[in-house]
Amino acid sequence: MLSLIIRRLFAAIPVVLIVATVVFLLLRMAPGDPARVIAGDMASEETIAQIRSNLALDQPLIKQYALAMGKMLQGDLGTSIISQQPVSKLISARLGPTAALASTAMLLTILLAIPIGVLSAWWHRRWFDRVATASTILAFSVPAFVVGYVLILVFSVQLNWLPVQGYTPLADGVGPFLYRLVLPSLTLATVFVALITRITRASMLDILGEDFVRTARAKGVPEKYVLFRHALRNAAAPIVTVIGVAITTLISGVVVTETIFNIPGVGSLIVDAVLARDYPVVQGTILFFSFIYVFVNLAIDLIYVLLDPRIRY
Amino acid sequence: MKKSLLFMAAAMCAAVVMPASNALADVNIKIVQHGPLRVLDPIFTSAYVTRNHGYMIFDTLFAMDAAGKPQPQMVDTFTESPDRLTYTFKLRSGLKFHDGAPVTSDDVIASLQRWAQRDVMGTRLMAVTEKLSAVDANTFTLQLKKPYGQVLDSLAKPGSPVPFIMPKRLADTPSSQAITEMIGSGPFKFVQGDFQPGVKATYLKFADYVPRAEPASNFAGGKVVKLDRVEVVNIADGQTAVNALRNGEIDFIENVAPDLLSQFDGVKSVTVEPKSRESNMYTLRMNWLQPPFDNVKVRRAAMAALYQLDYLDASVGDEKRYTVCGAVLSCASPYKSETGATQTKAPDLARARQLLKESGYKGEKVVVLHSTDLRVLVNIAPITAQALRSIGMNVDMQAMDFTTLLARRTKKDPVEKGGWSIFQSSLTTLDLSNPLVNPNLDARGEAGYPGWTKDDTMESLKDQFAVEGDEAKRMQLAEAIQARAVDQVMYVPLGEAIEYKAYSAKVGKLVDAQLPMFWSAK
Repeated sequence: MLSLIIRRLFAAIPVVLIVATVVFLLLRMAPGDPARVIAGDMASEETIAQIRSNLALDQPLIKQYALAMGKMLQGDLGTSIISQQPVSKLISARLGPTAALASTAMLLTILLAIPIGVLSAWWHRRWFDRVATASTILAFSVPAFVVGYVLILVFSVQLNWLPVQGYTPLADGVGPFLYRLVLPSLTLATVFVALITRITRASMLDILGEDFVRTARAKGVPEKYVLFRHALRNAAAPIVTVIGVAITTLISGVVVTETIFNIPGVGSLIVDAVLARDYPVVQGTILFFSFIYVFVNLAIDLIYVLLDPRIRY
Repeated sequence: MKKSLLFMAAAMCAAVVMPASNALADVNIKIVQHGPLRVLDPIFTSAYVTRNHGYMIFDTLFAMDAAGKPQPQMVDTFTESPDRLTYTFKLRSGLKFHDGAPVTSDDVIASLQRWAQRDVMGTRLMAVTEKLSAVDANTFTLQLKKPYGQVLDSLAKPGSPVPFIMPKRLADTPSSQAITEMIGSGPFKFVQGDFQPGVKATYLKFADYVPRAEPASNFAGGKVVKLDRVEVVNIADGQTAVNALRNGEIDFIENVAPDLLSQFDGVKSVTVEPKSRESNMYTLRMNWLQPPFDNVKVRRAAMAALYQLDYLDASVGDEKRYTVCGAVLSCASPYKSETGATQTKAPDLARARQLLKESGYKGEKVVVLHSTDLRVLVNIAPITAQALRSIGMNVDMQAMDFTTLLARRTKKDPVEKGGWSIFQSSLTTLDLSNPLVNPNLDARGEAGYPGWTKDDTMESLKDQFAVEGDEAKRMQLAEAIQARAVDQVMYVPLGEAIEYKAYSAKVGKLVDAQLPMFWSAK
């Protein structure tokens, strides 16, 4: 297990370097000039040239690349061209809201999707299964912004039960923290519950027809143990994979939901940075995402090993 | 037992989920501006949102009142010598920066010099300045090489970049480097530790600020602060901002999108008002360096095909919320004139086609840059493209985000090599109402504003306007500038959108000002 972790971490180094290089080149190939964004609509060419010089944007591309990579290898993600703040500080400030939203949405998803998926498979083609299937298709089809606006309209504007927008850090109290996360978490969970319910149901239907399930039932094992201990454990691999993908999606930012509920997360940070051509922020954020992907994939592989002893790396 | 357990669980959940009632008790008002604040230095950038931030924490020597006249602000008294060459300014006593240091003449001089490096009016002022010198800690003189009619207007300039006064140690920073330490002498202090770029900025009342005795009037007069704290939060989605204001989560929206205004109908807790004496003008700028618009007859033909109502109906919609106006200095300008403007009337396409025929236009491609990521501009380029196609022009409308457009419009090459023919913008009338500031009247050719309009007559008229001290003669010159701008098609004003602010009763009565000012809010 330990050797697997070490091997995978070493294997991640070239991945991260390639990602950093590709992102650097793509950003420089994109039209647009951060100096113009900073200086504003009416700045003179002389002013813009001075700003470019101060930001080293007038240096040859290879020199800019060497500077960026040199800093990165020292663990320095650089400084934002626009706000003049360290990229690491900007990311860490936005990570809290993103992590909070991702974890609450994921928790809600797992608590709802797995039982519904298991029960749908168990009651295959009965009313519960049909209702669940229809609901998941509907939930998966409706865009997040529609769900978000409807929830705001009902629970915030009309009933006045929950806030429209914003984020309160956990440090300000569990109550205010959760109070502002209810609607955005529900919005995000809608699509993920639909997805993971479908995967769970399909996976369980495959497993429930297996010989070992029939054997367990023949031995008189109670049905809840058959479903949740024997069948679900063996059906878990695809479910865990999708949960992993969902986690990376959530952490790398769900811009639409963040925008609707005005949550200052990583997603809106990277979109704003791309629009402003804030190279260090885009680069640093994508690099951070690549690390997240590496770690989540590693975690999924480790969970596979725990769930199925036959799997060896 | 089960029931009591359920009750306890419910009570615990309620205690956990319901927010503490005093969580936001120290926040007086929360405001939402038209965009995110990312750059703090109001001299370094001309971004409007940074200008608004500047007005919170910095002060100016002079300020424009409601009548558009410069009035002393940090200045107590001033004199002008009989030969109009020497101005002597005395600062108000007791002026202090937020770090406790007194405001001195040296701070003022350094601030003006830094501002002048970045501002058109500042550059012009310094070009006619012989010497700017401190007499003592509170007095300084401005000596001119020749009489100049725009001294006080320059020092009271309300649009970006504003001649804000900052400590010398900060003002000595080159203007091409952004200052991040925000120390001013204005009515609010900036809370440096609270600032999250693009997310949140906090301002506290500056207890040592001494307001002028006169009542507040636009940017001028007494800035009497009745708030302890103003928190600026960025809400990118207009609908979310509207919902948040209706729900009492925020107190002020600087600019409500026209299609969302009706959502406040019947909402008694929210006041909706137009911005005072200021609006946003849609502008169309042609590239004079490349065919076909290097030919004045083609420019005139194109202008004859344009109709302001088409633009305003597509972008604003409600006729109560826009102004049809053909003045190149805007209808908010004290020098307003609409002489010669045709785009305010129904277009004469037959005449436009005739002009195009006379011009010798041979079907050269017209590249119209189309900004698709800014709500305010998204419907403008398609109107232009259709109008020009209707008179037989070969139009290629190219979609891009505004950052790309900013870079693209600097290309002077032919359209086949990445150049362009037309770009459109939306500029506040604060930046258009004086011919010396208006970038579209920059007629210096390749050294000037993209579009590179070159016209010695226009530059001469502006020079005369700058030195003229007599108001009546300045009006005549402004009239001549309008006539010349229309004749040469320096640019085409496409109409003015009136912006609306919305705020809760908690804000109280705001100053009737061209920008959001919070020093009378309660």
